[in-house]
Amino acid sequence: MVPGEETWKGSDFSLLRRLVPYGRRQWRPLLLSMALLPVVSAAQLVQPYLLKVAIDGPIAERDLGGLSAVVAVLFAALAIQYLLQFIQSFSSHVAGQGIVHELRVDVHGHLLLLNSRFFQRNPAGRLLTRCTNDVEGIGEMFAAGFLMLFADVLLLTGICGAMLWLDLRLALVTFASLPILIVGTGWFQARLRTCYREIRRRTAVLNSYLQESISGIRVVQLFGREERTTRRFEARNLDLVEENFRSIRLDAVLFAFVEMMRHVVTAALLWFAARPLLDPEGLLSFGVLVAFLDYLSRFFHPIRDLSQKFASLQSGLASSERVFALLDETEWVQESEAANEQGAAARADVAAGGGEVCFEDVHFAYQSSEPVLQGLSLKVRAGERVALLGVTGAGKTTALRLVNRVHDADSGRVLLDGVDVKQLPLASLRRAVGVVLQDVFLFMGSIRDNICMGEEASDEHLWAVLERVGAADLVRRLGGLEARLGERGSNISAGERQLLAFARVLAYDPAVLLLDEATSNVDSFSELKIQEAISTSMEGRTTIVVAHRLSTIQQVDRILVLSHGRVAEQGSHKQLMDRGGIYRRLYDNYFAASEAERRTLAAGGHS
Amino acid sequence: MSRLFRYLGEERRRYSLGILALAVSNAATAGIPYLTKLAVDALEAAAADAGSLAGALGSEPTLARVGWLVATIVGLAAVMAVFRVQSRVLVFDGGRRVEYAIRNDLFAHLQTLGPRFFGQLSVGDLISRCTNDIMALRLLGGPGVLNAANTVIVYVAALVPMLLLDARITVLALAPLLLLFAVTRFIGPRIYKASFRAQEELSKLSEHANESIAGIGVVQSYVREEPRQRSFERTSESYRKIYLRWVLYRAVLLPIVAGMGGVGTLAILWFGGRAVIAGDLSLGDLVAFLGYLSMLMWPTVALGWMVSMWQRGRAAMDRMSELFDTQPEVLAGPSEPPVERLTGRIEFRDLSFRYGDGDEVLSGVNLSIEAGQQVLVVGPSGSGKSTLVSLLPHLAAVPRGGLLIDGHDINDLPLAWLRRQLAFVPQEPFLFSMSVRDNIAFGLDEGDEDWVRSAAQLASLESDLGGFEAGYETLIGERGVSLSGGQRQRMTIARAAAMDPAIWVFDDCLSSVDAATEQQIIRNLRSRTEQTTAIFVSHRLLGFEAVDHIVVLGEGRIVEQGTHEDLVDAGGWYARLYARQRLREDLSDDESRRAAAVDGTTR
Repeated sequence: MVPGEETWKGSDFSLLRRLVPYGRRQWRPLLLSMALLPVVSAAQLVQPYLLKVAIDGPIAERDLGGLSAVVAVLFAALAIQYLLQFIQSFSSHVAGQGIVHELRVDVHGHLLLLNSRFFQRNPAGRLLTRCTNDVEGIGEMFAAGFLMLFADVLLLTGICGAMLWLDLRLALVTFASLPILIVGTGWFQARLRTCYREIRRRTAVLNSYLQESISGIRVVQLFGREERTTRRFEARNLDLVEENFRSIRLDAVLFAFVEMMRHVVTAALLWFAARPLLDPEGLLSFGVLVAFLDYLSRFFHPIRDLSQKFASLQSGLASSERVFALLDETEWVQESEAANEQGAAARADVAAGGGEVCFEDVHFAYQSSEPVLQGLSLKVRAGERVALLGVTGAGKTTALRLVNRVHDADSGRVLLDGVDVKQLPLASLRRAVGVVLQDVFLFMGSIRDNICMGEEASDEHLWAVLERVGAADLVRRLGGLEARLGERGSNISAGERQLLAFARVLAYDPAVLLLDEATSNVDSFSELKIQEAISTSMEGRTTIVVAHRLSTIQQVDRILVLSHGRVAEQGSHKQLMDRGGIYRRLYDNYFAASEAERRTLAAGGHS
Repeated sequence: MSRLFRYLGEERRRYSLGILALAVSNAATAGIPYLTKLAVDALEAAAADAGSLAGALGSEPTLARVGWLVATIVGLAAVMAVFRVQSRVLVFDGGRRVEYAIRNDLFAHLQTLGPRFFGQLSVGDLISRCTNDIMALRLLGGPGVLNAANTVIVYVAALVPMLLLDARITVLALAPLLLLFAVTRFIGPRIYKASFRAQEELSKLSEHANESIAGIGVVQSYVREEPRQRSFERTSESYRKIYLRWVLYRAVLLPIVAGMGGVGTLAILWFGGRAVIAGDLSLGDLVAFLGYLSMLMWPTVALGWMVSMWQRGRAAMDRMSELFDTQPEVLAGPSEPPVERLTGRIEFRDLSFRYGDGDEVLSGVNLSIEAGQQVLVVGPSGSGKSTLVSLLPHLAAVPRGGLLIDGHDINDLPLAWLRRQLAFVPQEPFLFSMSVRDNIAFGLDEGDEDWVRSAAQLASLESDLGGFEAGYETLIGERGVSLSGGQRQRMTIARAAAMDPAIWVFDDCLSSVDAATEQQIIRNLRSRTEQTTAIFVSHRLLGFEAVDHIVVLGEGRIVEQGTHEDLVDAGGWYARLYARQRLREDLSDDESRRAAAVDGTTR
């Protein structure tokens, strides 16, 4: 098992029980399908028997009228079989796809609730597989697995019954082949199953290589590594095809084995039927022999497929294991009962106080051995703008994440307008807090969708927002609000993406704004424009900035210097410089570096 | 489709041997109903005599004859099995090899395509084509070929004895199959359309889920879970609908085709039964007829199945051809380089450039860079800086005569050779899920320890690596550690540094690195790149004062150029920006705000 891969702890039975509600919601097509199966089987079973009736009755007795009657009944049986088979197969797919659809939507919806810790632990590719292939596997299990297995078992039981009823001796001759058949197919299927598992593994390896190579195609091309990358892909492709060759051989032998058995049993039947047929007392009729041979031809296909269907059932079960393990994942932000009770009513009240943010003795660690925040206490007044500074690992970004509950504090409280954020309805809290992250994420779709994120907004309002962040020219150049962005905004530059992220947060108009090094990717002009826009539009809006560049901090009212997970110094630039602490050292280091450059320049040196 | 036939043609030896084996095994199978008939006839004749006196005497030779027939059946079954295995192995291997070849070719083809192509298609869509669509082709190349051949062979193998037994009954039994053509003509195109659209919807679905996962942070912090979920539900719903339409067509097709076989049984029983009654046909003949018809049963069902598979494969091949038919913008160039190693002289000659039919991104750029010179390219967002430098590794088609390297038109230089001598550090710090070492050595033929270490040093990575337990062997990415933005950018610099190139290009690749580290790296680079042509794209001007040449781009044109001193003296755009960045460096609040105001009026 791959570390971190979640699996279901319960039994197969409890897994199936989890599937029951999904099946129950599709009860109409499922029930229809199940109800039709016995009828279809009966219609199939009666056909060989009708042959016997025809041969032993009308044909032997030269009775034309009787023959017409038998042919008419046979016609009816055929018509019923194919009509019902059509309805049955379609309704089973309706049920299967209905289950797939519901599961897929549930999995997607569940993923949206999980928190960042979960996503750090689980690679995106694996989660995508849950949403696509695994749910398809479960649907397949219903449509092709359960129902077909049911149909096959019905048919086989019927055939066995009919054979026993027609002639006990011949039936026993036929059944004598069963042990060999079962042991043989079982042996092959066991090997095929390992083979298929290995094929799935190698397919996953190939696909993740494919995904990464396509995502990083530019780097591959820039470094002229197309050939080597292709060679490595070919090697993985070869691994896969070789395992496939193995499965083809196993499958071919199994197929031929079952077919051969069928003919051998035919031969055996002829042999054992010869004496009774010749017996003057008429121990066996020709009609019975013909019907027997016909039953026999219908007997082997299901047996061969039985174990195959069992395998698809097993792989479907494995898929549902993974899907339900994901659906059982509760690594999300817990909403308190109080918050739930307040519900939508509280929505309007959140941050009504203007967005005062307060940390009270907050402790937090990603791993218990490495504490990040160690008793952080700070207070940002409503409408105040504050910069967080500190060396890497001081806990700046982490502190931001506690405000909109990407993580929850291990101890201590984070308060918004005097209320513990854990007591607020999550949606209301996040509606009150806007975030611009270091990595801008844009969705495929129109610029409008990316800026108003599905909320209603007038064109004038959006254009006003775009003007304020200086992105109006960009949007006009791209072709207006309805212009499409490529995957993750691949058709525009990093600086331009940043501008759109700012437009997004301005359109969101939150009471509290959290910026995480957001300005670092924008060129100086856009940066300045945005900072201008922010400082005017953030009047009366609480802002916390994690500043990477000291030049950013001139925009703020107060500077907080974090060290070892707590506030070490705070004040204005001048106060902190005078104090001569960490801030002074950070500042001097930074300034000394650029100052040295300048002196070299001034001396005319070019080293 | 001709492309698919070409791939199938590659496997013709395998396919023809496989089909030969199939013919042998089917011939063996076809013999079995005939032998059964002989046995039944013999038994019937004996049974008819049983009533007479001769009956008791005649049973022994009859039994001996039946015994021989039974033994022959077993022998034929063994022959059938041996050749059956061969036929399946040969043909299915062929299908897998077709799949293997298409996948390799597609991957190699994708490697030649440029940013414009990848900007239009999402990764999710591409992956879906490389997996789901190729699967449809494999089904066509393996089971599809086998069943097509099988159907033809079985029909011939069964028809010949059937016609010999009774031509009239044969024609009547098989007449309904003619209807099949009509049905196929009606349903075929519908299956094609439905499966084409289903594949498209499936692409959209995985694209949507992929974005939800990758953009989870944004979705959650903007409380967009509900609308996101609703739109996913809509996508899933429309996939379900179109998929069920495909299922419906297929569900209609199969019983119709199989039903026609059933009608054949009726015909045989009706006409055959009458013939037996009239004494024109033996009971054994009737049994044989039924045996042959049951032989035809599966190939007939497979026929319907193949119609749907063929249409699905056609749809997949069309989607695949959309990729194959995209011509690379930039060709590989000649195989022999004009010189062994570039010196790094670059010349843009009146170069204008646009992406496809878009607006001009660069207009009339004239720029000469001597070997070993260091050049800074600056300008506002969208002024064409990144486009300009991206032409150096020939990522997009460059008009002939527009860009010369060492005096050679870039179109005359071997592409791979050029790129190996040019280290380009892109804005986006993309790393592969490999060890730190393998990432840094990505451009090297074999990871030379010293190069990797000195490259890491240059990019100020050493101390970060000290923090990782496995050091250089630390895995990066989904299965390994996640790096900060700054660490990623420095990794990409180390990766380029390991190449020992003739030309360096840094496309604004230090934006997430903190200022002190940035200065350190620039110092390292400047001492390292003394003999190398280096082009920096940057938003920060401080630290670059000593470069040989500075180029200012504005709306795709060079608006200012010269040395730092020249440009400062000229008092233009550069001078203003430089002054402002200096002022801001001084953290003088008032000055900076005034400068900002100045900027606001001049732009």
